[in-house]
Amino acid sequence: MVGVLKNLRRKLSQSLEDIEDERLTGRLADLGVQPIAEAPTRTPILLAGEVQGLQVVPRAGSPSLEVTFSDGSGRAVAVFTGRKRLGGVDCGRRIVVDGVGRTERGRMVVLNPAYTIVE
Amino acid sequence: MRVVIAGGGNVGTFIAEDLVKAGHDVVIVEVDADRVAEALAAGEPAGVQWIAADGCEVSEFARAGVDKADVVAAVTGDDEDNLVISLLAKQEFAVPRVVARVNNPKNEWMFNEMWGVDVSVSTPHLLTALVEEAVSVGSLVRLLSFEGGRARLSEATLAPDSPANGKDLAELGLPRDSTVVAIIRDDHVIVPRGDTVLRGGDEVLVLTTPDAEDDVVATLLGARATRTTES
Repeated sequence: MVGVLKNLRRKLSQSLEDIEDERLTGRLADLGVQPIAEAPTRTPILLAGEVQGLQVVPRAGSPSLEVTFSDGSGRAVAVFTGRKRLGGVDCGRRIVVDGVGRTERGRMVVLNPAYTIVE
Repeated sequence: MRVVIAGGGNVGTFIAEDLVKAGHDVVIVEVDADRVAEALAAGEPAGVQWIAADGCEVSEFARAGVDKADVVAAVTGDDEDNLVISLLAKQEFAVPRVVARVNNPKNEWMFNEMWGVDVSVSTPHLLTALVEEAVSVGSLVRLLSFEGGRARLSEATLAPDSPANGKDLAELGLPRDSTVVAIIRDDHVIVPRGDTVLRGGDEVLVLTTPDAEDDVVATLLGARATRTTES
């Protein structure tokens, strides 16, 4: 009983962000990919996450699709140059991204990665 | 800094020599094995590491340690190769700074972020700009572009009948998106202030956006003046 109450109290006092992060961590756990927050830059990596935003941004006069995804530990952006949309990549989907990351203005950015839509 | 130079021709070799002298760690990637053997036998330039590999192939390019490089310079004599090398450096190795050589000025429009190029250098454009600078009084010469063309450093030599002659910078009223960064008068550099008075014969260096350029020309050189070459 005390345990249940403690759990309930923890749930109630958690911030929305923490709950969201926990949900994402749970949703992506089965993929066994390393957390975004711990991923190294400048070396080939696999990242997974839930798509949270799609944005078409002009880069040097041509459109680029920026796909923001999060796994609860952090966020990363996959940039697809010359694309305005990618079939099947929509908000809420789980994707696995295979590429080389770098830090750009404090964000983890992967340029033109290979991607897999998990569900 | 660790610098990987793709292309071991004259340009690549000279750059390597300069960078080694400046204390950097330099690797040259050259596709022609004979050229590499020749350079290694001659031992020139001293202190440079040569690798016989094709920079357009990811696996071969990786042998040069591109994943640890701070800068990649694509300076082969072939624009297509330079673009491929730049894109690979950015996409496969996330190199922080990629510099590429433009051989044919007609291809310069492609040397941008889309192809992974941070900075492009076009020798023909640089040469025309320098030639024009020597012969032009009363026109604006573009010396350098920054930020993918969003800002330019230009130079104007004031003719005696320039509308700016005898005015100070504050009353000149240059557009908001431009600023005078230096004035060269009789071989001396004058750091501009609001009360600096311009004279005929002054070389005025202006940092400006493309949109503000026409106003800058009108203010410094008068309405009839011309603008010249991109660089």
